[in-house]
Amino acid sequence: MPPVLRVIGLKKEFPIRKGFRTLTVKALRGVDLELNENEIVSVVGESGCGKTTLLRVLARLYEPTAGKILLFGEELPRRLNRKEELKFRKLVQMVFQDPFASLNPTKRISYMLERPLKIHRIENEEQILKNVLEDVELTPPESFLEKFPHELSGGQRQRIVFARAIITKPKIILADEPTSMLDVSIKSGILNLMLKLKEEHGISFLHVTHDLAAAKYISNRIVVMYAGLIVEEGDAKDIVNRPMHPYTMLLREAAPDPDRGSSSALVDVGEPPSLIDPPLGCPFELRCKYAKAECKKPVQLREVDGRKVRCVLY
Amino acid sequence: MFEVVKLNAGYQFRNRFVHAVRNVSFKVEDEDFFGVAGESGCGKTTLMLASLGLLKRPGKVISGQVLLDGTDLLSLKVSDLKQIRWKKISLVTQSSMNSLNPVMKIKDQMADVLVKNHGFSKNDAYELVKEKLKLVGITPDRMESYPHQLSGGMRQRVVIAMALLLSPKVIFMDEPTTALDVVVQRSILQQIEELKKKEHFSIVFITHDISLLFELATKIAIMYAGEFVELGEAKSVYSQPLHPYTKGLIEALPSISKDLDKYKSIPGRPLDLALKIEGCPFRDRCSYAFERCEVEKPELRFVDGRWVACHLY
Repeated sequence: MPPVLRVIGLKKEFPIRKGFRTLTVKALRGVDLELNENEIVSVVGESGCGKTTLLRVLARLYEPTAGKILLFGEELPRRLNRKEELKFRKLVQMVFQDPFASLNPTKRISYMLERPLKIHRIENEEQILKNVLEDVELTPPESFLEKFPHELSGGQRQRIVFARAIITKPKIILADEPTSMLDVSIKSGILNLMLKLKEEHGISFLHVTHDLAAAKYISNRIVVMYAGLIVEEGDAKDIVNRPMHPYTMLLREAAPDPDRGSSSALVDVGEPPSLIDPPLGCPFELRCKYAKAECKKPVQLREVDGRKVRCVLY
Repeated sequence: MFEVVKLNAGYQFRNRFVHAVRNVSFKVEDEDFFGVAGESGCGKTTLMLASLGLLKRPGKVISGQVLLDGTDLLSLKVSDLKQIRWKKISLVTQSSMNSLNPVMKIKDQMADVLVKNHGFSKNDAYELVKEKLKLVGITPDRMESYPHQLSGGMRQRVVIAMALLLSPKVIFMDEPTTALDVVVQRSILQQIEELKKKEHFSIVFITHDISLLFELATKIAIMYAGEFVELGEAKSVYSQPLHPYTKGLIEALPSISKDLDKYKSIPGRPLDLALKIEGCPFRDRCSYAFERCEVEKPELRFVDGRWVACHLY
């Protein structure tokens, strides 16, 4: 069984104009990634590390500069005709960060959920609508169909967004920080919903987040990105309990943790490198306390202890 | 010492009153780190604005006192308040990175308040600005910068330096790090702790990120529907929460060091604060609720070294 989604050597560059010169921002610098059936993979990293760009390239909102995207083992062509595009959208859906901005405030819930069914010509609307609302635990469904988004709470809205995403029975959902705008008391409800959709509907998730604790809870694997590159990848619990790359260690130390005995002083200097002119060697070298001379040379992602790490220490 | 006594505040609209802060009292000792945690809409920002006399129409304070070294801030005239603000009490706001004026140099906007309200000469003001920026780790050459030339973390540091200008005794911080990345957030919080030790001020820290608060605060207040439902030492509240809402919040919180299989969210949603609340405001979401919760509102009571508003105790 090939992975449902596979990415090989993905690159994305954005041109920016500065005065008379045109520079390129290298947002993704060669990313390889696999998403298997029935799997949740979380991509974590700081803002500007390229995690959202990755998601948007995979959703075909941006065209990749280089690299291949394979869906169920078949390479996606650069251009899709209308029919292929429709088929792709049916299989791959997106969930965005802000449930206040991603639902049209002037339309009723029923309208928003019917749209994908109309576009994909799926019959038996009424029953599907009810089932899908039950799937996202908004019961009784009838009471939600005629409501407007402003009548719902943040958590309920995000559930509607999920309902809209699963209504075409997709295989993959690309989720961009789906819980970061939600309150603590409902955050875990949405995380549990993602787990349930994975178990019961066989949906695979590529989940972008900066919340390491949430990523640890729901994912099978975690991918850590830094300056447009994957720096570490491995089993979710293992990677958080025993980070190997110095950047993953830094993220782990920086995450809020009430169970931490004494807050150890975090040694951090500097910020991520410029992506206009990224360093040739390890991108984390300037902030890394273990840095040595060989870090100036390019470092490959290597397999160590069932993990992939881009670091000369291993 | 800073003390809020039975504060009631809210927002008056034509036909309804949103009662956002209900009978809130708390005391902040010198050099305390006092955390207020709650979900959005629970009234925590209103509490801060009301305590500082910054609540603008339609917001208004109905009753209560805010005592700073014995003087009631709410009864002072605006001109007297201006003397106290920045000097005795100051504020770091939510997404304060965006609250800097984009067309003013850092040094000018920092010196502004010193020259206008506290009788500094421009040169003295710049000297003080330089000193305080050094304190938060910003080199003096950055004084000439405009906000857009600084990173998010540096802008946040500028705003903290601004709050420190006249060495106030109490600093309110309303989600000072939520817009920042985890690593930057951590280094700024560390700096705040170090500064607190060096400059001897107390902090009232308001946030929805309770895992952060449990780690940093010495005392914590959990706010729900405009009221404090639990108040006590942060460490003991975390290890042994008494109020069902606090329990629910802690159980809902994915932890980075625990390997729990399941986290549960709290069912239901917070109440509409425009309505009159009878009984316990949390009863509809509470799994321990019984008849008494329907009819009688639980008062804050002192139980096992902390304050709880629940009929279970």
